[in-house]
Amino acid sequence: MTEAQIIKGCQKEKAAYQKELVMRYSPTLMTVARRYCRDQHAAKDVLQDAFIKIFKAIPKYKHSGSFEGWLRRIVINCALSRREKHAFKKEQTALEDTSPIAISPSVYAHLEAEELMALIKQLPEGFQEVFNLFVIEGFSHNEIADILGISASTSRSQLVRARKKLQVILKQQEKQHYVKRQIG
Amino acid sequence: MSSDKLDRHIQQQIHAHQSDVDAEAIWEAVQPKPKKKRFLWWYWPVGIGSVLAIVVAVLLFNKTTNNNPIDNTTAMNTPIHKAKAIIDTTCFIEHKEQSIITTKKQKPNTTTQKAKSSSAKKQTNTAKQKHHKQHAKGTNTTTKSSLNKTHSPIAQQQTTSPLKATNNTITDTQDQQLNPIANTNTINDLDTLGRAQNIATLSFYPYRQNDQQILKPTKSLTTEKQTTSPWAIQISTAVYHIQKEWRNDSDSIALALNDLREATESLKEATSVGIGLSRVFKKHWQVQAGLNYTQINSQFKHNNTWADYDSMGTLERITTHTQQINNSIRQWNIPVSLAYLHQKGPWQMYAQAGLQFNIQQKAEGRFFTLDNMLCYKTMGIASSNIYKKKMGLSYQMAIGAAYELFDRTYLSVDINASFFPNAFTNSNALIEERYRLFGLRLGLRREF
Repeated sequence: MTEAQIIKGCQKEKAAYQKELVMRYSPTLMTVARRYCRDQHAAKDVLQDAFIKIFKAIPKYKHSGSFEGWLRRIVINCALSRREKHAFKKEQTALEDTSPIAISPSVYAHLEAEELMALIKQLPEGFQEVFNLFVIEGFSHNEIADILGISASTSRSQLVRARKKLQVILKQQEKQHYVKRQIG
Repeated sequence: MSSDKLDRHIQQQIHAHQSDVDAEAIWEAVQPKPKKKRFLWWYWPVGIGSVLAIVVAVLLFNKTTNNNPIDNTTAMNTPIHKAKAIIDTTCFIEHKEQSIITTKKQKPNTTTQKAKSSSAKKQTNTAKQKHHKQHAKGTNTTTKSSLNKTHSPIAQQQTTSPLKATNNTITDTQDQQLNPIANTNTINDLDTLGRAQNIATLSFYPYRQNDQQILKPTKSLTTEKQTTSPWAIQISTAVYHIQKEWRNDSDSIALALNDLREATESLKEATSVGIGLSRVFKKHWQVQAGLNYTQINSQFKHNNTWADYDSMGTLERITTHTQQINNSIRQWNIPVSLAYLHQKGPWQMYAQAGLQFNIQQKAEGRFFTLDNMLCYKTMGIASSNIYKKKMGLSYQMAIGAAYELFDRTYLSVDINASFFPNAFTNSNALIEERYRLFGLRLGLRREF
């Protein structure tokens, strides 16, 4: 079953095509949901909610751009609509040093998706969202500003802080790894 | 720079990553349930009940009317029934034709008869004027006997000769005693009346050029038929209370949207103006058709709040802006209805029920909806295209009264209700909208 057939079948509300859509895209979309949710349970709820929205919205889908991108965007919207309001306000930190830390690629080159996702999860919620949207989804700061209801400059500053924080976490991991090797 | 490399690495690793997930369980949870076709249980009983109520009311009214001689006399006040009374009376002439001819043979003196016919004509005019005055006053006097004399000088001649009843005091009882056939025969055709009268006249009076005036009663009947046209035109205006019925699929999206719209939209009132044409086709029945323009009004009110942050991400200010817009749904309605009228003096009571074909002309304003990315946001109703163009049929019923302000012009007031069994919205709308209108209608009717 091709993507176009699935779309057409879903637009006609045919259950077989709707099921195929769920079976095919659930693993990818679950990854998206997990990145924006605190835990697996919340991610599953978001995914279910997103599929209901997708079935409702698919008759309106215009074949412009990537279909998967459209599905991802719906999952992100669902996840963000559930997030705690004013998360950004809580996470405003005092002025801090945002100069980048030099990290060797060898520190993260061996890290796979699950480990990297676990690293990102260690970031404050507001940082996570901007980082995910910018780095993984590839949205611009203006688009992020629109999605999150913040200004583009806030998005930029959050991204800088998120990167810095991630580098710090990686540096700490590297140190721990080094210590373990020394002890071993 | 290392941060760029790190970003690229994370993007490559995570973007295409597929998590372990029980897709079957997700499908079980999200698969759309087949929509139950809701039976609109109360629309049909209301429609059928109204029709039955009208039928029962009509039967009861008719029964009362038949048993009550006063009502018969009242009915005689209407012009169309006056004409019918004349026909009934003239029927007597037809049956008595033989005796008239006999009389003719017995009284060949035409000069005397001509003089008498002039006198009869004068009496006719006087009685006619008298009759019109009585009608204008709306009194229930014995019009039948006056009409008998007015339009049937021959009959008068006939009855006058043997009984010497030259004054205008012949009552229905007398009439019945003298001419029992008159009340048992009913001829509904004015042509028959004319023929009967002409035959009777010509039988009684040898036809001459100068005697044409004797045929005038027939002419006057024709004139009367023209003046009692069953057609009427009506203009009306109405104001309605709106009752809404919003339905959704009870999923989280539709429920949230429903709540959002409930919070931001408040119904106001509906107004309507219309023009219609009606025709009386039986004793009390009237069929009506027309064109109405209806506008259903509501108000959209929403507080827009947004936060401004500085370049460091610090909250600068929170701004609130209130958006208030008048929404409206405008329709053309083509009503076709049946009305039962009951006349009592200058008053007319009526019950009306019918169907309306509705075409939505325009919907304007603003409301909350879901955009292409399924985010809730305000949107112009006109660009949303959620409302149907053709809405199909609706029920409409009214009960009210009309008062004859002046000659053949009635002012009417009624309580009016419209039920729309079909949704106003298209099938792709998340919320299915239906409305019912209950209101007061004011009309002005002119009978031709």
